[in-house]
Amino acid sequence: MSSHSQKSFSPLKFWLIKVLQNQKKRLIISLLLALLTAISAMGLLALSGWLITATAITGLAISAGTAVLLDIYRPGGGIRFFALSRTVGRYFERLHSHDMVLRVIAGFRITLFTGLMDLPVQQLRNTGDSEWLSRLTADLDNLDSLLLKLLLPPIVAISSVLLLAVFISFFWLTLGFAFGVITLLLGSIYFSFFTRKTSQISSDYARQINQARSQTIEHLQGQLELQAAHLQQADQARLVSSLSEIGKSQLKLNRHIANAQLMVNICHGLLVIAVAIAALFAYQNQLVSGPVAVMLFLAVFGLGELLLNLPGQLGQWGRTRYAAQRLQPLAEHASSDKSTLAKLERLSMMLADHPKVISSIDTAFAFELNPSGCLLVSGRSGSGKSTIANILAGLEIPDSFITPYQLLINGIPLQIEQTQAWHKQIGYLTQQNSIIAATLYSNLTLGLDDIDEQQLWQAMTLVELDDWAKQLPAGLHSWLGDTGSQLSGGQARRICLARLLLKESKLILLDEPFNGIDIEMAERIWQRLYPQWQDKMLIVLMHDRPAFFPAVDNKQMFEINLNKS
Amino acid sequence: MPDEPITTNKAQAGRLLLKRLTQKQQSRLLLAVSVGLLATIAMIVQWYALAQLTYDVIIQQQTIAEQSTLILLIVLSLILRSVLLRAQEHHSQLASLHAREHLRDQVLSGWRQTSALIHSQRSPGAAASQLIEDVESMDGYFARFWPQQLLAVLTPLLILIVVFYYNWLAALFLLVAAPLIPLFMILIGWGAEAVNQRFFYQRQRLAGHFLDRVKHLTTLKLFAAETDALTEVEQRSQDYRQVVMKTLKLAFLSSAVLEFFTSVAIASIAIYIGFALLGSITWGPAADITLFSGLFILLLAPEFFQPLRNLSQFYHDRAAALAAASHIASHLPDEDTNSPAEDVFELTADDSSSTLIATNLGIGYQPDNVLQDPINLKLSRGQCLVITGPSGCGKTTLLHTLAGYLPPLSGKVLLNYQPMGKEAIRYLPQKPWVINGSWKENLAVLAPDATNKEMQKVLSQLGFGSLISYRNNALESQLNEHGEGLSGGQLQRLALARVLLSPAPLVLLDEPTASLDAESRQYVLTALTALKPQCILVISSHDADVLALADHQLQFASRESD
Repeated sequence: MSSHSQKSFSPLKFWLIKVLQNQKKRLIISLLLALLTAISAMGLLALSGWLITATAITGLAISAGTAVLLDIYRPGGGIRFFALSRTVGRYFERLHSHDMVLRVIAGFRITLFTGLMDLPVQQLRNTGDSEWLSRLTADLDNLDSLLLKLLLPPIVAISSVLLLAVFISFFWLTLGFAFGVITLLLGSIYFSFFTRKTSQISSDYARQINQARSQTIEHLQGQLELQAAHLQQADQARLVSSLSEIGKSQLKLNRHIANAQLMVNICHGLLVIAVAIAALFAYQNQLVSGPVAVMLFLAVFGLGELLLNLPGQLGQWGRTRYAAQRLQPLAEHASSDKSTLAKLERLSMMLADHPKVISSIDTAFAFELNPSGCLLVSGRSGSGKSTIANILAGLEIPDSFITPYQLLINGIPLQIEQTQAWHKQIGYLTQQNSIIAATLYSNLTLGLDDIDEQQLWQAMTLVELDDWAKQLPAGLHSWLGDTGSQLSGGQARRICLARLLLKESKLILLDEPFNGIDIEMAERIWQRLYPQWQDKMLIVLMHDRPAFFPAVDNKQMFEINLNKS
Repeated sequence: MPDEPITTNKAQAGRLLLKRLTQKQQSRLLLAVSVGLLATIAMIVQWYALAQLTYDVIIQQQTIAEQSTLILLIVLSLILRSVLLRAQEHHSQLASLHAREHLRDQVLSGWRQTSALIHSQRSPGAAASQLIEDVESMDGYFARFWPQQLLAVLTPLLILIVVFYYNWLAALFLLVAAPLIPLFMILIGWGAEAVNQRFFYQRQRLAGHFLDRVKHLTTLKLFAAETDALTEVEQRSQDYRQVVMKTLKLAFLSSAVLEFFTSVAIASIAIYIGFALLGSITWGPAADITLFSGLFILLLAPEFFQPLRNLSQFYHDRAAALAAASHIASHLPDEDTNSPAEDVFELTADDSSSTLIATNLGIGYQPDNVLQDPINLKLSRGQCLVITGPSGCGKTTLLHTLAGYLPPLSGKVLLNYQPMGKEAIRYLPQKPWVINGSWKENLAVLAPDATNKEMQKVLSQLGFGSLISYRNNALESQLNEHGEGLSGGQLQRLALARVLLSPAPLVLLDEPTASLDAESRQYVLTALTALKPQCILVISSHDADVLALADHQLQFASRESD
């Protein structure tokens, strides 16, 4: 095998190993049930053929006056047994294997979400949300083909052919051997050729679906602007061309599958005819009896339904591989062990020459802060305030080759493994409001275990949202929409502030805390919150210094103006 | 709960939608069915010849060499049958492709007629699933289920006639077993359909939930809520599995019933033929049975049930298509309200007589909750209205009403004597829209006619000069989805650049200078000043410098204090 195809197989193998680790038992049971069904289907037809031929011959002999005994009840019982076992086997096989697949996928989902959680934030954002979504849902859905379409059916088909070959050999070794070798050889050559040919198309199809999906989400997010400008249709033109690409690929793939079915149909038909002629030939040469000859070719006839589905199932190869490939790096992201971190007593930071922060070697961005110290970082937009905040929160780690940088907690550099512990000590209000699709209560108590409603109302009062919350249809338990869009920007901001108030933290980091809040209310809220945070380190990042801020005394109140560096 | 009638209505709408789509593809689908029937005839010939061959060799003791005509007939009919099946596939696939394309166009045109405000309240992930996965999931209905529906009646009928000719009792066996099958399937199908609809809803919720949690991963991390989120994700996955399994249990039960009847019918026919051949049965047509007719009937018996089995296999294609269709139908506007929003004649900013008139305008989301006193105003080109007031008082609501996204609760508002939404305007939300693409693409989505030169000029006007001058192909450089590389001020300036490149008679701006630094603000203010003479500006803002631009000011009272 070439190195290329070796590489292209490994993602599927990766996920397969995960399945084998967790669901081996279920997998074997599914396989046995499928085999039972396949054998029953062949047995039903074969035994029926044997029965009617045997009775025909015996009937003729009896009418000719010969006394012949034929046990019709045992084969009759066999026929009834196969009739039942085929039905029952099939039902439980399907039920069992689907349940297994859903379990497997649920397991994959958890693995992936954990992987995502451990990914550095910077990496997360670069890929874009709609991309992530399609990874988590569409790709996972595609992975279910791995078991149901790519693994189980070929194994069942191969084992059935082998069993049938052994069965035929029982009566005529040469025929059984020839049947087994020819079927397996032709089948595996044709299907590996088929899989290779379709896998590119089917992975293109999956890729195009994901692409169209991202574009659709983008299009929907731009409705406010597009609809006003009457440019929806123009923007949809982009979508329509992507969607028609999907249609083309799908048609192409289906044509390949239909052609393969044509091939399988003809080959299987020829196989039945060949075995029929061979068996009848054997009958004439007295190698086998008449009933056995009919039984043999009817068994081969019964193999048909197993083979006919293979093209459709194996046509999923490329699509599944594409999904497996995309998901693999996320699942491989092993969670690093989380280190502890001492209680924050002293914080200092130095940063120079960062591409997104206005600072240089001479005028590095640097400060040191003690508890109850308050630092105001001001600077115009684009000067790097949010970058500084993200670095402080451990969400972004500067490239040490470009940027001389230090973040010291109690004089010791913060390690990547300590990020989670660090998050437990800080309260960070990011520049963009983050309201999750959940109740107001869940939004406020994010990550908190036990909290009484009294505290919630207190926090809501401080940000002047208590009256608003009281008039909500379900109070604190009102759902904040799918996108939380019935909130105004100012309300969302204040909910985020209230959430921050409820969190126990040593360092409060506020990036543009009063976004969307008018100046009078901002002042009122600040006057209430500032005393609450007296014993904490406070870092506020704003474009301008508000008038209501305490004066800089360089003991408790500091200011760094990025515009001046 | 008024839940029940709604779901039935939805299902009905879905059925209607599928029917309409099928009608448009009828000729292709019927062609597929006729070709499929021809394949059945080829198949009958094939098994006839095979049974004859067996009879000749085993009973008549002829040599195989004498049977070359029969063998040739078998091979030819086999090839013909396979080719005909391939042709059937071809036509039904084309029908499916066209039907889905048609439906996608319908969904997209429905989106154009849906208020942007409604769009912003829906999860974009769920809506995207509708356009892509749901429409895709209808493939099976057109390509497989619909033609099979007819074939499942016609093919067994053909076979029945042939079997009847040879042995009416065996035909009776088949005839008795066959109608029971659809009956069972209908009973089981009803249940499966209802569950299937929930399954679809659940899948969309699962997708929406994921998008939301992934979007807020940073927040979840910062608040150490990872474990909670993970538990939530796990719970949702479990719920999903349970719902899906419920659907499948029913779906599989219907095919199990079929399997059972097929197996039992084959078994009883085999045993009946066996006894008849032995001479144990003397009444009815049993006496005429030979190995030829016996084997022929036995070979036809599975073929008799095969179309029905296929149909049941495709049954969840139907259930999936119906669920998807009722979902899509519930978001599609009625067909007859189609045209007005479509053909809009664009008025350029040069048309001198732009006026915006509001009389007794009441704004709000619910009729029983009018946010402000009735608004009266008259603005003409070159004038600027600034709306001030505390947060949550309805500033954005007024902008939404002026953009035509929200109907007035009372009174009316007209732009150039026409209701809002008739004419193209510009709206700048607080958080500007950014697409995954280059600067150029980001500008072109809302200013499609702007040239490279104009883009560069406007960008440098708005303070992006450095960006353009030191990178030679700066317009082609990429922004990422959240505009993560850009600050809030830069995003606002990008949005304003679009408006400058493609002005409209009315421009609505929601807090354009909020949280901007002095420099960005200066650029924004300059741009607004430049824009003002060309159009009517309506701005919600707290900014004193923006207020300086105002010809009219609307002071909204705080809602919480009244």
